[in-house]
Amino acid sequence: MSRFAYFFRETMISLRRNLGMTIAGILTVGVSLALFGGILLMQQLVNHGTAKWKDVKFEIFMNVDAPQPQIDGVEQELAALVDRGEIRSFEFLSKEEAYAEFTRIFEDEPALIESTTADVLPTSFRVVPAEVENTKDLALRFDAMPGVDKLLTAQEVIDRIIDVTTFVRWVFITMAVILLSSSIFLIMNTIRLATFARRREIEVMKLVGASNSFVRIPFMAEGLVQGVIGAGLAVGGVYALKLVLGTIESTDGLWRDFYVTSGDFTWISMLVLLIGAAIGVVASLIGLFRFLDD
Amino acid sequence: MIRFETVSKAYKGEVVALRELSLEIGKGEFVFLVGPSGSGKSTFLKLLLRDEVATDGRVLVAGRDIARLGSWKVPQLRRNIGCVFQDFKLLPNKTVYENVAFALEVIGRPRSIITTQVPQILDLVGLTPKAGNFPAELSGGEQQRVSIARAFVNRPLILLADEPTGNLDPATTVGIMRLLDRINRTGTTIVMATHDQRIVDAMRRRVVELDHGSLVRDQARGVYGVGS
Repeated sequence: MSRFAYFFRETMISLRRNLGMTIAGILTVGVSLALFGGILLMQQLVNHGTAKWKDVKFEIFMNVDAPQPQIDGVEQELAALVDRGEIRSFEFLSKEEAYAEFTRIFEDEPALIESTTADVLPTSFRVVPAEVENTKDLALRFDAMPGVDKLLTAQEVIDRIIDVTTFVRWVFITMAVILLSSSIFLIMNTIRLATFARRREIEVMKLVGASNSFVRIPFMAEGLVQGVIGAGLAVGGVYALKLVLGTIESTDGLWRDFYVTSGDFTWISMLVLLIGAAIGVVASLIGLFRFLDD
Repeated sequence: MIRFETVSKAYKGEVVALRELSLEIGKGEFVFLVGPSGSGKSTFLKLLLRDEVATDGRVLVAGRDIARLGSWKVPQLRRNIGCVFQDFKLLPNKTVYENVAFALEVIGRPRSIITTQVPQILDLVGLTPKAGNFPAELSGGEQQRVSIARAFVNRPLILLADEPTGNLDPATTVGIMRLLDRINRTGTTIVMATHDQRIVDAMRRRVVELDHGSLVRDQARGVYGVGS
C-alpha cells in the first residue's frame, strides 16, 4: 500500500510543480479530443439521417396528371421485377403522402405550403433494387414508360449530404490530428521538465537500485492524469454538442430523421477517454525514453 | 566478491581509462584505490555499478559477469552495492530521516521494515538527534554520515566510496573513517577511492594503485606512496 501512496504523492507533487505546462497539456488534449468526439457525434447524426434513404436507390416520378392506368402499368412492371428477384421492394407514394412530406420539408415556409395543394404534386415509386449495381439499368427501363416524368436516384441527394459532411469531417480530423500531436509534444515537454526537476531524486533512485518501473511510474501516472482530465473536458464538450443537436431533433422538420442517441454518446465518450489515457501514457513514455538515459 | 579479469575500458575518442586490469577483492576486505586524477579510479567504480560496461575482459560481482545482466537486473545489482560520494548527493528537500528512508522506499520495502531499519542505522552513524533536520542544517561530516547511512541501510554486500572525505577537514575525516571501519567489521566489503595520503597511511589496509589505467601496485598493508 505504501507503494501506491508513494506514487500518488510523487505524481501530485510533480503535477503541481509544473502547473502551467500541465494545464496547457490538459487543454490541448481536451480541445483536440472534443473536436474528435464532435466529429464522431456529427457522423452518427448524418448516419441516422440518411439511414432511411440508404436502401432506396431511385425514385420514379410520374407525371402530375398521369392517369391511373399508367400508374398501374408502372406498378405491375415493378411487381413483375419483384417476382423475378431483380427488385427487393418498392413503395408507392400517393399525392397525399407526397404532400405530407412536402409540408414537413417546407414547414419553415408556410407561404409555400399555403400555395401548394396535393394535386399539383406527382405520385412516385421508391424502389430498392436487389443488386445495387443494377440501379442504373433498372431505372432506364422505366424511363420510357408512359406517364413517367423523371427518374431521381436518391443516391444523388445522399451523395451531396455525404460530400459536405465528408469535407467537414476531414477539416475537423486534420485539426484534431494537429492538436493531438501538439498535445503529445506538450505532455512530453511537461515530463521533460518533471524529470529535470527531479533529476537528483532520479539519480539517487538509480543509485540505490530502484527498478526502472519504479522510476517511471510516477511520470507515466502524470501523463495519464493529464490525458484523462483532458478527455474528461472533451466528453463535457461532446455532451454539450449532444444537447444542441437534441434541440434540432425535436423541431421535426427536414432534420426529423437526424438524431443522436445516448448510446452514441456513451461509446463516443468511452472512446475519447480511452484515447486521452493512451495519449497521456504514450507521450510520457516517449518523454521518458528521450530524457531518462538508462 | 569482486573480480576483474583483464578488464580494459576505452571511451569514445580512444581515451583508454583502464588497461588489462586484473584484480580480486575478497569478501570483507577494505581496499584503498589510489592514483592521480585520470588514473582510472572512477572508471573502476563505474564498471562495478554497471554505469559503464567494459570494452574488454570481464567484471564479476559475487561470481556473476555483470556485463551479461539484463538491464532489468541492474537495479538488483545496485541494491547489493552501496555508494558514497564526495558531494554526498543528499536530497535537499528531505529530512535526514526521509533521505535514508527514501533508499528503502524506492526499492519497495514495506513500511514496517523502514520504520525499524532507519532508526537503527541513524543510531549507528550517530545522527539520531538530527533525524528531523534538513541537509543544509548539517555540517559536512554529518551530511556524509547521512549519505553513508543511506548507502548502508539496505545492508549491501559491498560499499563503494568515491573520495568520501574529499570535502572534509582532518578531524571530521577521522570520524568518517571510524564509521567505515565499523561497517567493514560487519563483513561488508569496502572499496574506497581516495587522494588522502594520511588516512591511507594511518589505516594500513590493502592499497591498489592505478596509473594511466594500469595496475602499478597491489600491497596488502600498504601506504599511500611507495617512497613515503
